[in-house]
Amino acid sequence: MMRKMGIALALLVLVCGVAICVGNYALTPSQVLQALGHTQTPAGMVVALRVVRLVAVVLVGAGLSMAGATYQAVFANGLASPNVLGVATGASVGAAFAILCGWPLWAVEGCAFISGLATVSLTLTLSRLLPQKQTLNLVLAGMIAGGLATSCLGLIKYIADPQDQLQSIVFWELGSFAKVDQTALTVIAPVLSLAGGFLLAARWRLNALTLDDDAIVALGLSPRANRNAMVVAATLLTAASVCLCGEVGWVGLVVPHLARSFVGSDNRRVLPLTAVIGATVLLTADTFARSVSVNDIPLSIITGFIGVPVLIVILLRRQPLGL
Amino acid sequence: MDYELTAKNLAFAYPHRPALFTQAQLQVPQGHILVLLGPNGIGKSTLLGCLTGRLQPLSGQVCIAGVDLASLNARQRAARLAVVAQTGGRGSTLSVQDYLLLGRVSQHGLFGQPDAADRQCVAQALARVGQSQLAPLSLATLSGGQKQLVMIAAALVQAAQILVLDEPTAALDLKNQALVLRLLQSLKHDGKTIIVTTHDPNQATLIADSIAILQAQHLEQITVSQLSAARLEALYQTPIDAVWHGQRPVYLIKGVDPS
Repeated sequence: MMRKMGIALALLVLVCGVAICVGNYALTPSQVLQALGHTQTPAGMVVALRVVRLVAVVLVGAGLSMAGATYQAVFANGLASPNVLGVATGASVGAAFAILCGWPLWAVEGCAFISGLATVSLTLTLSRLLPQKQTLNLVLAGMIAGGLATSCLGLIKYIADPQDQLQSIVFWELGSFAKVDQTALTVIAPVLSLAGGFLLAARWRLNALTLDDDAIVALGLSPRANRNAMVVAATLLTAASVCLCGEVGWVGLVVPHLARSFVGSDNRRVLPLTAVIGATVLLTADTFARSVSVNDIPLSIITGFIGVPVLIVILLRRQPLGL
Repeated sequence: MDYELTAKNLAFAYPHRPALFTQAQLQVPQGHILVLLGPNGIGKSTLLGCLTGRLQPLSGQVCIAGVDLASLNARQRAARLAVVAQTGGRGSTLSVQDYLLLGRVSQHGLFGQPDAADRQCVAQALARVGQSQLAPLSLATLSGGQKQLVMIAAALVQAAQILVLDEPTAALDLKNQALVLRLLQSLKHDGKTIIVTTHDPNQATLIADSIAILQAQHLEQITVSQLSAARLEALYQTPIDAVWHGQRPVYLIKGVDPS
């Protein structure tokens, strides 16, 4: 495990180095080192902006991946992820509503969290109401809740001012770190760090939550209290990520399976590795998104192109979506 | 503390269904094995559910060491009572070692991690069921028999004084059946209170200190010597013969001729 974690961390550091150097204003490593701390120079300003963006991307990549791994463990369902459960779209509804009302960033974050939690609750309730108990129920319920959230989002976009608010909502719906600044990061980073830290610290308990309720009770734990705590933390991660960069698909679904293919099912190992791989994957995608054209390519397009083949390979190589 | 398990006037019925049992009484002293016999679908697993707190009886009370089970929280129950269910570990792809470590999870806080003592406890439990070599394997790759032995090890990791096992030998070959029966006897001598269900009355006469028979909504606790072919015929509604092997009766199914 330590060796695999070491390789993953080394890869993340390497990608961080590349991300600082490349872009529309390319810098050599020595120029980056000289520019550090000199924010008055053009190179220094570019490095400072890229560092802020890099920190945001790493936190969101780690956060979305850990949220996906947590949902998959808590619902004992390898298909669960922030997007499949409708949480990401649900959080987008709350955030778009707050933008429509012209509220400040903390209110956008709060609305995203509440609507994200409401969506995951709706998904869970619907999946339990479906007559046949099967893995697919959660996905079907997620489609229904996500569909409702999409309609609500459409309504907000229809009402929104096309000169200002609509652009902001649409840009943000496609997923991008282009508008991340230090102020936004200062507000969101503590939320991501706290929720992610909570899940990392409680990761052993996630193993117990993959069992059925009777088995969890027999181990001396409360299934409801423990599941609720984990779902709240994962939803907070998703909502905070949505606030920072909008919706980014695939990362929360695919990265936990990728981590499991390296270290098995034990969440004590899966969660830290998932965080590092998620950060690396999203940073790679974001660096590509801002380097290949003058305008950023929306992130969900790139994560989709990466996520689909990776998921196919995982499905072909191992037990389908096992935990 | 004397870990005796008692049940008084237990009754249970699923919604819109007739009662599975009423006025059920049991007394299992510490260091005793009680074997529960009854035909398929009569409510043995449901009765175990009531005895372990998994199901809420319609009436009656279950006490461990004189303390009402209903007054204990999940953590307090797990410290006193471990369950080996027929479906234990189903669907899990955790390794055997990681699964067994969960038996200690309630002894740590929310942010706790297993320590060296926990790992040693797991190693000892696996050694006791003779399956140390399974530690690194995934639960999903085990045979039914191996999984059953691992589930018994999981109950040992929990270090509870009362063990409740639902048909622990059902999926096992003869060698592993003997291993489990010897293990239960050994645990009894360690002072564990054990309740076990089985469909094999010969296993009951081998290990039981007393036998509980669940039949037609009625639970009766008898001594081993009170078990007879006639009682078993009435219980299972099929002809049964008893042949004597030394001082011990061996029960055989009658009416099935060799082809």
